[in-house]
Amino acid sequence: MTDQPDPIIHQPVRLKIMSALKALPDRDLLEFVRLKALSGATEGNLGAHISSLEQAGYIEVQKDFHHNRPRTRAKLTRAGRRAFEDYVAFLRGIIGET
Amino acid sequence: MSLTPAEAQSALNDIEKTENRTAASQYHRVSSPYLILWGVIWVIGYTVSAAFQEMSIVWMPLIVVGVVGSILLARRAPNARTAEFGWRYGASFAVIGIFNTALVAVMSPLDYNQMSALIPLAVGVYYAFIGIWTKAWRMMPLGLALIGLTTLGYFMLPEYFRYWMAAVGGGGLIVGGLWMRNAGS
Repeated sequence: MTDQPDPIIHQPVRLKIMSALKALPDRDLLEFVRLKALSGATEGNLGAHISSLEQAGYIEVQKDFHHNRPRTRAKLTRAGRRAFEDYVAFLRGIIGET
Repeated sequence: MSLTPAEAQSALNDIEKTENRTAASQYHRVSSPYLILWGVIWVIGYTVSAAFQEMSIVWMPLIVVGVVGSILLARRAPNARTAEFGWRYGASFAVIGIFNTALVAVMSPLDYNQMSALIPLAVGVYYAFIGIWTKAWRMMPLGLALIGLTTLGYFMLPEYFRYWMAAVGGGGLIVGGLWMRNAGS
């Protein structure tokens, strides 16, 4: 376990995005519109944070058409899942939980 | 960058809250098409059997359509967890069917309105329990509303009870299904 929080995850909106994606079963994707509702972020803000997480290799973004409408979905990568678990372990370490 | 225990606890609380909201949203959205399917079946079944009492047999093919439709919805589920949800949903309806058959056998003779009220009351209890025991909390008010409206119609509108059940029972399931579909979006 590191002695510093992961700076990519350690931001309120990005933490909510990661938490929401972590709650899904493996390989499941969450639509952008639902991520927006779950994170409480504005559309532009959410887009910027999703880009940061994607560049870090923590999430994978897929764009396609569903019922003739563009759809953007995201899911956690294996590296993202591991980074999130490390981050939670870091937080638990601070409050004395193992 | 250092965190105090209070900040760490707050972040853990945020994580748990978001995970719970996401899981609830998933459960609600998975249950939505089943509710809409059975809502349509109730609207057709109660309306036809209210208008033409001799056509009550219409329930048999409708139930077959509902069961086959539910199986297809479960198979269409995008992952193992939601497919399992569909399987449990279908199995639970089978238990309700057995329960109602046993209840009718024990309580007979029942008049037509009593028979018509049994399934919605049992389904209402089932939905309320789903809402209490899983993260799909919206099922609880839906189940309680179904029980309340069924009881209300049974006593207040006995002559129009099946029309009432078509409107508030079937219609209620459809509205409930649409409410679930919009969960978390």
